[in-house]
Amino acid sequence: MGLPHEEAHLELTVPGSPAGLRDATEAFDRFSDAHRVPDAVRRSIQIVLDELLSNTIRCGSNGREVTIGLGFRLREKALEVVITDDAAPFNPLEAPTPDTTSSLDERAVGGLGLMLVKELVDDITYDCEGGRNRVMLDKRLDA
Amino acid sequence: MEMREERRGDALIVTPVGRLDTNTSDEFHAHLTSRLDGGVRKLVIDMSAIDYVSSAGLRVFLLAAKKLNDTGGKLALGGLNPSVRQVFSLSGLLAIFAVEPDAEKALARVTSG
Repeated sequence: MGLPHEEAHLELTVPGSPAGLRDATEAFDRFSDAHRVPDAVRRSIQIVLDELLSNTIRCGSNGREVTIGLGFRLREKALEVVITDDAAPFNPLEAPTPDTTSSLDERAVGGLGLMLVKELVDDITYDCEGGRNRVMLDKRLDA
Repeated sequence: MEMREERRGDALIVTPVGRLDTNTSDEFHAHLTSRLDGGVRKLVIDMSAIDYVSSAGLRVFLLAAKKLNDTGGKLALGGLNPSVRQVFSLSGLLAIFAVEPDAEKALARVTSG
């Protein structure tokens, strides 16, 4: 529970499956409630988790079991999130940017997710070491 | 997911409750599709009970809007919270959807003209 300036930290591992995505969502809900993460920050990070984990589950597993590691650290001015997985190497920062100006008839119904991820956080970096993808995100608490 | 519905004349107001994400969007899509297949041509989605929308949820709105466009129907949304509005804005969807401050104004939008 604690005072707002105290650092709070949560780490967990979930399977790369729809059930794992639900586990991650619920765990971050509990973390947000316990440490009073502002609603705007909680919502942005839930969207980011939904986009990145669903992408890993859908595209990265090639039929084998994948595990996803999650770390949340609440600092004085920002929430830091680290997401790792052992799926196929994939850099979400290199995903093509969808056209968000076309008319309804021309609008593709996919491709928006990774653009949202980049827009909803203040800083995002990616690396791949030892066969694990790692995405590190910062979200300012006053955003 | 929980969904409320209200008939207002020949318009239907659907109020989904909770989150529109990977976990819930298929159910929301199936629900809207059944109503549109059932003949609804004036559809209002009251977003006032939605916490957030991910791209999986955005896809449902795009599909519903295209379906209504094909049949000469109308779709309007009302009651978006700041997070939902931001996601619609970033995706360029505020420019192609009728978005109103609340469901009553959205209803006026689909029943006018």
